[in-house]
Amino acid sequence: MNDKNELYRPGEPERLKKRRSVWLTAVCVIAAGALVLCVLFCLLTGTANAMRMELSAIAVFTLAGWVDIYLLTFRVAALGREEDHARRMLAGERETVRGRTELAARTVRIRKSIAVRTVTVREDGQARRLFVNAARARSLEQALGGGERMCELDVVSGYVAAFKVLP
Amino acid sequence: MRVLKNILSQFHIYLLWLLLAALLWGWIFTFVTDTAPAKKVVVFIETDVCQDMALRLALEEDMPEGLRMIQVHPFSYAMFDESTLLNADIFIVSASKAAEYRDSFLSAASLPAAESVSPDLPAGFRIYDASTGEGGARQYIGYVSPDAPAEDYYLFFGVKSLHAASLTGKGDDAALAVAEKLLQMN
Repeated sequence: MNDKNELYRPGEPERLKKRRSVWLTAVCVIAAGALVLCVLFCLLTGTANAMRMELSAIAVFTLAGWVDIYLLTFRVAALGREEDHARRMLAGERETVRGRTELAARTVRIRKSIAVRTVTVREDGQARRLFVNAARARSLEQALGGGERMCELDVVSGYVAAFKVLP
Repeated sequence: MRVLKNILSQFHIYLLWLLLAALLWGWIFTFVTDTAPAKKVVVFIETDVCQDMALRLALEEDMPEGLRMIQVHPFSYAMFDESTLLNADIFIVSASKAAEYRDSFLSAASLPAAESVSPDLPAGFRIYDASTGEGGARQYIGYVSPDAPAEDYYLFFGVKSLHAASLTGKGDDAALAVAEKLLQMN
């Protein structure tokens, strides 16, 4: 029986995909709503209110665009990267690494990938640098208690997939 | 805090989007608020101070039949595209600047009350008399500038106007109706 703390569970990529779809739908709804409003402003334009309608269209289009840009970057794209990463972690071949484990406090954002924290594993005088998904590092952080502890880690492509603190 | 950090990291994209939105909708509204030359009368006024929107609204009350809009612009409106200016139906220019746009004016000599500004200029209508301070649409058009001596202003019809049938023999007389209103309004 695997008594390790698993950072990735079966079904997670599908859940992430569903969450991503929800955010993407929100983006589309906001975009469509803004477009409809702007078209309405065009149709309601007359001599007396032309400037007001134009400014309203610019304001609505700008705000909706800002919200959509934010959601596409920090929700949709981020969830897409999480989903890809989770799939790779669940499908990848595991390697067991043992040693005194320390978790870095700083989060590093890898370009076009997930945010990670560095995990340093030391054994027999050798130090090995691994990564852990920053969004899933809390349980490891709590287990290490801010310091260094002897751990056994399951690693997939240099990323921690599961861990167990050894006595 | 994280949201703010995320927003700041993309600030340049948001700024770019704002510029894009302003350009795009400015361009779209130019089309939305415009119409074919046959359906509008365009008035260009050569002054720095001109309540163009208010004057436009006043002129569009009882618009001549067949027209959809009357556009009023200061000359500075056409600073990037002179063709917009040269295709105007009505020009209101100062006596000193009239010669500059002479080739764009239609002679209104055949109309009553038309007068010649000078022998080398087509006939027009004095819309502002500097000696008396009286003028048409005075509450909308700033004829007097603090930086320059007061001078007369004249109204001319554009040589490319589709709305001066009494002078050109084609189109309608909507420009004449608008001119009459301009000359008579306070």
